[in-house]
Amino acid sequence: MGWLSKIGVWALGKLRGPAYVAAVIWAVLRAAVDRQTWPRTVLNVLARQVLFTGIEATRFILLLAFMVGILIVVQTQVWLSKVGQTGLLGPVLVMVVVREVGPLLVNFVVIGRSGTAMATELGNMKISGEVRLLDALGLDPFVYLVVPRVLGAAISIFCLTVIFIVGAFVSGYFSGLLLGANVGQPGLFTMSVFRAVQPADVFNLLAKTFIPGLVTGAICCTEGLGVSTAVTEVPQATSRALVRSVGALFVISALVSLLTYM
Amino acid sequence: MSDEVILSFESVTLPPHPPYEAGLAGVSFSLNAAELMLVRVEQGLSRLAFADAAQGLVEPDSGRVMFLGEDWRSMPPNRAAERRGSIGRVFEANGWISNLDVDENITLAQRHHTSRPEGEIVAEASALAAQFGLAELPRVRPAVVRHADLRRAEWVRAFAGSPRLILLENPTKEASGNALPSLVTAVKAARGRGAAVIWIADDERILSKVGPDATCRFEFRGDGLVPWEGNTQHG
Repeated sequence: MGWLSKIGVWALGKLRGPAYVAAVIWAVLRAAVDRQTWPRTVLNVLARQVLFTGIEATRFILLLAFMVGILIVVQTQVWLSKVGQTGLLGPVLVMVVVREVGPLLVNFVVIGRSGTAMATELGNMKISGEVRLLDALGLDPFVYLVVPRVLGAAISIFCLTVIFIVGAFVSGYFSGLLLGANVGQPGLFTMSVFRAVQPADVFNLLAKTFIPGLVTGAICCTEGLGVSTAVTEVPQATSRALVRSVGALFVISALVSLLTYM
Repeated sequence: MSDEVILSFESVTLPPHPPYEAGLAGVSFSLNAAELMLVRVEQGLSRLAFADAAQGLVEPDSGRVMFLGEDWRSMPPNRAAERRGSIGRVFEANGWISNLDVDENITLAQRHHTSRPEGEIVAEASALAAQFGLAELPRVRPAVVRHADLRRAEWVRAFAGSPRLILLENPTKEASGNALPSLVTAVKAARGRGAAVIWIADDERILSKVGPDATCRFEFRGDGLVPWEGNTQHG
């Protein structure tokens, strides 16, 4: 085998994983628009997933948002006051929180909190024969286990990011007031924030929440269901799911940023 | 007996690949509506491929398994899943989803496959539970329910929703002895409604109590499924 074909084999091998995840996401999206996919049992799993991944994580996300708001305000206040532009606090918050920090942090939290739980739960179900049991009861494991989890993760990440952004702005505004920044009246601050939001920011926000959400869900589900015989495979699958999800998150975030702002 | 064929095996060969310990070699039979098939399993044999093959969960190497006139292999996944929803089964082992309560487990297939009102599904399950000697549907995780009650709860699930085929794999294992008559009564009632029943057990005494009127009898040995004495195989 020549060196060129070795490179080809290596490259194809590296692409096989992402291609499989992309195929799973495509299958999930196709299933999601089919009415037959949504009997009450699957809707129930989707609701539970959003409850666990989204609603139960809200308090922690708000806490993070308040901390991030304070940190960013402290930093920007220092630097903007040096150039006499403290009135730019709102736009700077938009740039940092909406475009980068918000989606990235929320994705991290969801991967750590729910992605690993998903991989572990499905891995244990596979080992204990529960996936086979679902099949025997006539519940397609892909429809019952994978579709609602992947969509639930994507929906939750988007909603949590919106909550994070609002929380960070509120915290940023009040810490700006406390630090003596020129943040103005709440209405003016809000207007300056909204004026700083470009259509590209909306695309960026959607792309950095829904795409990594779908990818995280698909990776964690496939890793979990990929275990075969031994319980010891479950923590290994969970660890692989975590690493691959974080890697995919950074790649997607970088690509979306490049596509949006270049 | 009705002429409608519910399940038929046509020269089905299935080697005992893991996780199965016993396969099938050229097995042929057909089971009509309202018929009862008894399968005696040699002591020590477990993890049979038979029930999974009947449900189309495992493909035979050769031959075909037909359910309600259709080959499992030719059915699209949605249709196969829907058809499996019309099969009730008591599993040899691992018959529960651990993160659902027992009552949710029992009603899961009915809630998934039908649009029957929740109340109607629960009422039917509760009536079956009472028939099998359970005071009520357990509303706790399977892990905290007594094995004997769990077994009877599995009977409730298998008979709920008027299934066309009922597969009972050692259904009295871990169940208390006085529960058998209620199960036999339920089998008779299901056959009366037109369901075909396959009762698999390793205890011959139980099989003798179950079905003097069984339509066919097979025996599962190390070398596969073979006709057993008194067989009235047809088809």
